[in-house]
Amino acid sequence: MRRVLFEEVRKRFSRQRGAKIVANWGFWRPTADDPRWFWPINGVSFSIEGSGRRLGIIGANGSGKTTLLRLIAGVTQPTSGWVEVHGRVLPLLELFSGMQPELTGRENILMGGVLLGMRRREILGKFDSIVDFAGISGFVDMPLKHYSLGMMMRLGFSVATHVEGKIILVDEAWGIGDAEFQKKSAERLDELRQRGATLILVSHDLEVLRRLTDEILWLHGGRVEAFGPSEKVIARYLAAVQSGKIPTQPA
Amino acid sequence: MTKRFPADRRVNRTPAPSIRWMVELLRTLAFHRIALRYKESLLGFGWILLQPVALTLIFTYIRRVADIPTGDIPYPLFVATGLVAWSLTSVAIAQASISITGYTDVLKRIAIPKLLLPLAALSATLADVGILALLWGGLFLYFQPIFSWNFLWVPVILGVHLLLLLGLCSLIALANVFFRDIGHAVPHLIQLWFFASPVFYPTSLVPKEFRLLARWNPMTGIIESYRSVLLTGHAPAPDLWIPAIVVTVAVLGLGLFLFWKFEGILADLI
Repeated sequence: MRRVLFEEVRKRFSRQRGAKIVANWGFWRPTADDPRWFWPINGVSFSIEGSGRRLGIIGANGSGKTTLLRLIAGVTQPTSGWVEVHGRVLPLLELFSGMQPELTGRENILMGGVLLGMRRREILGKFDSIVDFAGISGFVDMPLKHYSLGMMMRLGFSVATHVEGKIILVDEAWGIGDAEFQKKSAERLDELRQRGATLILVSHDLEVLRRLTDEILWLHGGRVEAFGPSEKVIARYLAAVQSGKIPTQPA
Repeated sequence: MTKRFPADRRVNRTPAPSIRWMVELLRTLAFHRIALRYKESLLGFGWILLQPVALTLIFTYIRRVADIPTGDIPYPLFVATGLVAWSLTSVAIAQASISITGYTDVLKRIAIPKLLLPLAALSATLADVGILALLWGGLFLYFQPIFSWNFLWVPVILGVHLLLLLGLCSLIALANVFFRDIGHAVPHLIQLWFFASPVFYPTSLVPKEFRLLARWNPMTGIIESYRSVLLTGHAPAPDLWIPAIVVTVAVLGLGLFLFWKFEGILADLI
């Protein structure tokens, strides 16, 4: 069963540095308007369940999209509220996740794969397919720092999408590589979804969202502004942009 | 009246990470620590040998200037034994201090059990010091090849040593996230601790007023126990290892407790 459930989730971050946070630890509980904290996620509830779902997330910069993905990925914990995630999460938050410039492509495939939750045997079994998809055969034993940016991105994407993820999180940075690789990566994500994975996609590109998602969660100021079928939410979003409620090119 | 948020947070995730995967992750991270240190350096593993070997020679020389009585034990072997044990401590701590802050990119994007990071630093150091121990073995066979069933104490002493280091490593790795001062302070603290520990002198030489301090320095018990077992074949005296075990339990308990408490917010801080 795949399921992502948020109930009244709040997440606060400190504006202070580590040393000061510790100095203040335990002496007070921050209030909602305390200037020392801010709340990128401030009371979010939603849930999606079942396989093959495609959820898009929109909102201006600073509306909490990335924090929401990181909460689902389990990289960060909610300050209060209830988060439930069933199914192995595959975070494509950034394509170099865990990539090490001093290691060779081969070593990076192993390390990246293990970090993302694969077993070594599984990675070795898929090794050729990973190298093929990234189009880096002939470079696998070269240190990653000598790769071109495009090669690194393709390798990162290839390793990540060979993980049997059940809930795939994609941050907007996924429009990568040349046109051909973009097409290939979109097909790859769709293939994973057809095998039952749930896709959660953050993007500012309404065209991409229209094409790749069925539902959209619209975040505004750390809260849910709207949640429903893509077309409906996009229409409301566009109306809000036109009436000047939110800026078109988020600052 | 301002609204206060309770710290009630509940998280439910499936599937939980499997032990086997964590072991593989530990192995991968430890390999990376080793690769980081030796890739693209000519001398490679030679660097781990260089410092203890140089120090053995230096102290063997110093001993001819200032007398350090070590009984029947040849001094080079005496100091080398102390230095191998000391290397494990000093290298592990130096490695651990950057073990979390060196993986900022990973921690901000992928959820992994964070205790594995200082543990990987410790494992990598253990592999390095293993090579050093082989060199020590040569010295041992040359100077004083003895055998005793008390050698079976070595794994026990090593176990206590490693648990102490695990506690220290997790404390220091964690502290360095909150206070980057730790990273700067560690080399100096290690140096102080080196002179305060009986690496190149026997504990019997410690002046009376410092005896209490030396007694509660866990490295005193650990180094003297290694030497007692390996160089004289005697079982370590209880007044040596009891303080070491007490300190180890305290440090490990504190380290694991603080890790458990702060693990969840590490990614928000680095």
